[in-house]
Amino acid sequence: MAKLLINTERKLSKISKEIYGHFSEHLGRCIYEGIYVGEDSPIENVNGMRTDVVEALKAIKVPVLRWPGGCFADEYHWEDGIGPKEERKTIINTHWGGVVEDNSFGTHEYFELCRQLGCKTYVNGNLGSGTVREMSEWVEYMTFKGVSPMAKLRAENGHEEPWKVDYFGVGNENWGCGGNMTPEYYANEYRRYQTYVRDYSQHSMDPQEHIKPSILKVCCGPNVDDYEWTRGVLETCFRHSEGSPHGFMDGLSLHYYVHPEGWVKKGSATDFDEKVWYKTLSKALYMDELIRRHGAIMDEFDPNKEIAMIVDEWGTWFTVEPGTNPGFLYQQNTIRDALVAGITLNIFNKHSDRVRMANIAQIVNVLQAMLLTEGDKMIKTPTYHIFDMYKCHQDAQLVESWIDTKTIGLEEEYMVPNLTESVSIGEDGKLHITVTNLSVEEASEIDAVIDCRVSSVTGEIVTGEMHEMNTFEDPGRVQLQKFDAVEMNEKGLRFVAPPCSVLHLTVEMA
Amino acid sequence: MQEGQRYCRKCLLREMDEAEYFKNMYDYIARLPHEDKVSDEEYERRLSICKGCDYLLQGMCRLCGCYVEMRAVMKVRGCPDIPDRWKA
Ligand code: SF4
Repeated sequence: MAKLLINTERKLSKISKEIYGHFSEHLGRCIYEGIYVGEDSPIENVNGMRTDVVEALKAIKVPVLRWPGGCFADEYHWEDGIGPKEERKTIINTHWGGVVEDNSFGTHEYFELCRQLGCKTYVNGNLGSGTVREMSEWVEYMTFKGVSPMAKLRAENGHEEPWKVDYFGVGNENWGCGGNMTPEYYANEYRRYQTYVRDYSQHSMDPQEHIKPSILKVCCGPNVDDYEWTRGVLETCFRHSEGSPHGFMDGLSLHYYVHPEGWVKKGSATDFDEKVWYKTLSKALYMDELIRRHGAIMDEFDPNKEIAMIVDEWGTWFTVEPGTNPGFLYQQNTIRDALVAGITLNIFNKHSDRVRMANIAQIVNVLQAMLLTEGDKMIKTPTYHIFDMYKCHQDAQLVESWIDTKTIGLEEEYMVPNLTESVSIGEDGKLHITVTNLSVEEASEIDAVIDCRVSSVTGEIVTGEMHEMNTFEDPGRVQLQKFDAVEMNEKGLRFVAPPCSVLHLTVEMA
Repeated sequence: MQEGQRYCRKCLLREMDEAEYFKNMYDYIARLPHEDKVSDEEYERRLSICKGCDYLLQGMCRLCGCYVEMRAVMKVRGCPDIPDRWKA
């Protein structure tokens, strides 16, 4: 019997809904085919956006969407993607599969997509190969209200009103595809570029808009365990920065992917054994150490945690599905992905004092996707169902919890705890408990001791044999199911978490 | 973790050996159970339709991202276009 202790009196931090954010890049079939099919497509759409995809994403309450990359961001020239579509530049997307990019999805289409989804916007600018002027004018084009050359151009292209840019990334992976820079060199470039990411809301007549900066600036942070990058960038950004709050940035990014067999070989998404199962999950758990150690460096510079850690690329990354373009990064998604998602989101919740946005890679058809499409067909992946289940935590209050675990696994290097958990009090006033059982074969009986009286409980679960997945031939194999095997008692709850499961209990407190 | 610290997705593509990828794909097709594959005539018929299709790009169908030599061999797969171009 495992004990789960929950202290609802001890409220720790707010779980920003943006932790449940997503990422969409001009890569493979994420944007084109996956989201955008054009207005003339036989596939049902609204202003070119697939209706089935938008509806499915609205149901999981997508809070924020990062675009246009990724690596693509540092070669993207926004002027190519505005104006009449037939006049837009056609280029070859050399990063991803060598396919033609006709720029039919550009700035206006991105904001239209976010409007349909009802989500916040996170635009990633080009520092690697773009100019300061280009970045500055893009921000002006998107956000300037009033008379200016860029605002005029926007109006000529059909959008009189400015849009709201909630987050702006100043470069992407500048240690790699975004320019192969050193931390010091990038940080100096960051300081210069971000100066011209102007906050035009300061010109607004609305007094409310003066209270907080309107655009939150995201500085390119480390890849995986590159602590030297984190320190180097922060040192340079904080030097001579008096008068400018927290090193000119509101967020510092972190990228970390789980590839079971390593960077070069990665491993199959669907064909794996129990050893690889535990290896994968242990690599997912490594996210906790990365957040703690990068967070400790951030604490030295920013003890009040004003800079958000933004994990704007994370998820599983396997060898592509056999017979598909390797540059498209198209992979299937199994119960193992559901566990990786559940484990990682529990980690983010527990670090929500520092981690205030995360964007799983990517939203449709690429890497650990929510949805897979083929022509007019669409399927929901096991990961989709985890995001559906965990949406209860969006903007909820994390409360103190602790679970009694034992160490399981098959190889010494990749042992894992059998359970993980996180608990919050939602905006609905209810207690939300999410638990993952990492064991391939062993169920866990859990005795939840809660410091208040429980008046009712409902549950839902995603579980199955570790290889189970949804396919176009069998789209409903893995689903969110009702979980009602929960017993209420005077101390709290008792329930059994089946092997390979992620579950969510909603508790009403008396 | 021994993974390279400053490698990104783009670096990987540059390093990819295409010839090896295609060899693996043909090995995979050869290993597929006979009952999952279409007949030789049907395979050739599907491929000839792909050859005349605008969505074909360097052996790949742009609509689904699959190399058509792989996709066309599988019984359960259809052509992703609307309507399905392989359906006679
Ligand atoms: S599968 Fe269909 S759409 Fe794709 S190339 Fe072949 S015929 Fe064209």
